[in-house]
Amino acid sequence: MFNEMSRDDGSIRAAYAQVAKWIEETGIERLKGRREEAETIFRTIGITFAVYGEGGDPERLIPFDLVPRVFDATEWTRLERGINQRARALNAFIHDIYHRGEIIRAGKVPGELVWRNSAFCPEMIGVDPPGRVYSHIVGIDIVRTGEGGFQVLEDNCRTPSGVSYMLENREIMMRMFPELFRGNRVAPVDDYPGLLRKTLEELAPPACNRDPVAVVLTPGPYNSAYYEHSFLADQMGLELVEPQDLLVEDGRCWMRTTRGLRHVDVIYRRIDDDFIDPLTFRADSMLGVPGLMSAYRSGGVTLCSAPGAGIADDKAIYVYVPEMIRFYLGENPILENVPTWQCAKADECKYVLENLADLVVKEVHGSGGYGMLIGPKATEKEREAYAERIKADPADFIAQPTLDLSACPTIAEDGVEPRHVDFRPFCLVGKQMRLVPGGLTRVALRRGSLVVNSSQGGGVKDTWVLTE
Amino acid sequence: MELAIHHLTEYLYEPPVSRVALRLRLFPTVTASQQVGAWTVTVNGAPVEPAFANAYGDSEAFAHVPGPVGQIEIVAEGRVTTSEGSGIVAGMRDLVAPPTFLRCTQATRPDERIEAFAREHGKGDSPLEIAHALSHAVGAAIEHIPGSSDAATTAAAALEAGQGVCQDKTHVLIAAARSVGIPARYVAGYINDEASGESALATHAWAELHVEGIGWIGFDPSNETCPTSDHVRLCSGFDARDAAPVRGSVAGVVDEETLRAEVRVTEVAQGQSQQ
Repeated sequence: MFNEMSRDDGSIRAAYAQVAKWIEETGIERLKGRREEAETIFRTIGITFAVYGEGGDPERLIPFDLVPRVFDATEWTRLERGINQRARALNAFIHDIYHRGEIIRAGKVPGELVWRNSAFCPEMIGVDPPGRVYSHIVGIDIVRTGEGGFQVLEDNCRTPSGVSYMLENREIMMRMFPELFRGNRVAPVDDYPGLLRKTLEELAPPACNRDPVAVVLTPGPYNSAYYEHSFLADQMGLELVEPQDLLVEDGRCWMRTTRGLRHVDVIYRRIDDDFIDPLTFRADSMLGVPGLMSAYRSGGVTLCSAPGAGIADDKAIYVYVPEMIRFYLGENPILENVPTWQCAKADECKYVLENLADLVVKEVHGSGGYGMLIGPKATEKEREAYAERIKADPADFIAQPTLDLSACPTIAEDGVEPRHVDFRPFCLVGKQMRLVPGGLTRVALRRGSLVVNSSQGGGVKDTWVLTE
Repeated sequence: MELAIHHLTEYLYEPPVSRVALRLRLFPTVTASQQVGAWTVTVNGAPVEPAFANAYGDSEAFAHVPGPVGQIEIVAEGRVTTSEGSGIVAGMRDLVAPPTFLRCTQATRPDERIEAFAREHGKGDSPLEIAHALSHAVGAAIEHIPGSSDAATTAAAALEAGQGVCQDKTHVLIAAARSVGIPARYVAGYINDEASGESALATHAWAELHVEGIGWIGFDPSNETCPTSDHVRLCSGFDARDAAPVRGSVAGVVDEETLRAEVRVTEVAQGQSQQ
């Protein structure tokens, strides 16, 4: 296990010097007390996260751990280049498969995997969104397995959530521990909302001939990420709208306001493809805006993300991302993929079935950590049952080795102990790439656990990027 | 053959609704064997122009009617000149890779019965022969009984019942073709009343199957033929819902929605076509 703070000989890595000193000076009892204080603040602000399918308290709080996760300037420079590179390649791929499909013609990606994928949206074929951007906010889940060993676990090209935690975690840390931020060694993240707004506005559609108006479209207060939708709208100074506030007329999109209709140029939508327009997608959707696709196709409004962008973050497509980087950019991937076996391939499927006890198996179309098998943690019976599912539909599964995720110091009952973490930065793609130095660090709070999903007992941390 | 077409779709809402939004694909496709003459589409009398051509090669329009509105009358009419093309669809700007049409939808998901049916009847020395055999078998397996099915009837349910209308036959053919690896899509259109032997109350439907080396070919299992100069192609999709020439969305509470459609297709006599 790679411990991000301390080496095997007990010495502290330079990036964590300040954090180590702070932990020692504060002491575990006071840290635990201040953790409760932080929780009270979170509850007062109202940051909660509903968990699908788990029942219980839908207003459950994601636990916040006070000990920050730290990257030094050199590490971040490499991460930043790798993240930008990946976000560019993913957008190039989406544009390509909805146009000439060069990567398929070149035999680098199997066409069937794209065309028959439910995330591939035929309605988008031949459509040219402004700036050729499909995924405007690319959330890339990165794990660390060693000193220089960063690997990408998965990409999120639709509407990755969690950025509000990046902002709120920092806010709370600065409020509670201002002394930690003296000297400006920690790079700020608070310009994210401004940069997101700039990204949205610079991709206004051709029909827009004045200052562009962008809005945040939410399914409404019952959505589990509603807090984030309203928080981001508020931080950006944009209207938060629900589907019934919008309508389409004359090839444009409009919002109803107390002073009549006002045009809308760019929609940052937090509603899934299937539901955005009942005239094109699911007819039973109560969350859609009828005619939105028509206005989009006619160049009257920009949708962020573009419909069909999810094809690029499909787990069956994931294995081909390093190839996309070479194919579209002519570069070598800076960040590697996690080795992955595709059960769709007979020989790889055989290997997976023979080594289930050592592997993590995921459903190709699943997300949020649901429906996966963690081989080493599963019982014989669970593995047998899962093997039957794989045999029934091999193409629906991929497998990866159980990763030895790096660990960060985390406040536990008996003291500060290492807990496994991952990392999700949020790369903004507009006319240029923008990446704030930070992101969301998720932590598995149970000792030894490798599952960091907030829906499965994970917590969050503030993430520091140190300046030189 | 020159065909005069009049297609009326009428919706009645009780009580009147606050807004109706419509997506219309009522513009006949231009292909090597189908030319479109004067053609108009109106919604409550107001003309509607196509906004763009979609990836399938069909023209689409969006229209909305502000409320309170209790009645919507959509009229598509004009003249289309057709010629025999053995059902081969040529000259269309169609951007979708054919294997995309191997995807299943809820209405076209094959069950064991359809898979067995496709294996049993889908025999031949070439994909073209298999396609013909399947289309013929579907026509024979499903008796044409108006009212025996509804818009939501799936291919699986239609084959089990052994009865249905052109939509059901088309769904079964599509499901069967896809289950043996032949890409298939749903086509909505019109058919000359004289050819079908009746005046239609709705649009006609058939399937197009993609045959390697030839391209998309129409198969009309209801008439056990490939589309002839009596067929007029409107638009296509994965199934009936996806290829619906008229899709509507209503804002407001509707206690009762009534739909009435009327399609008249007649051959223009030689002398008249010059006028």
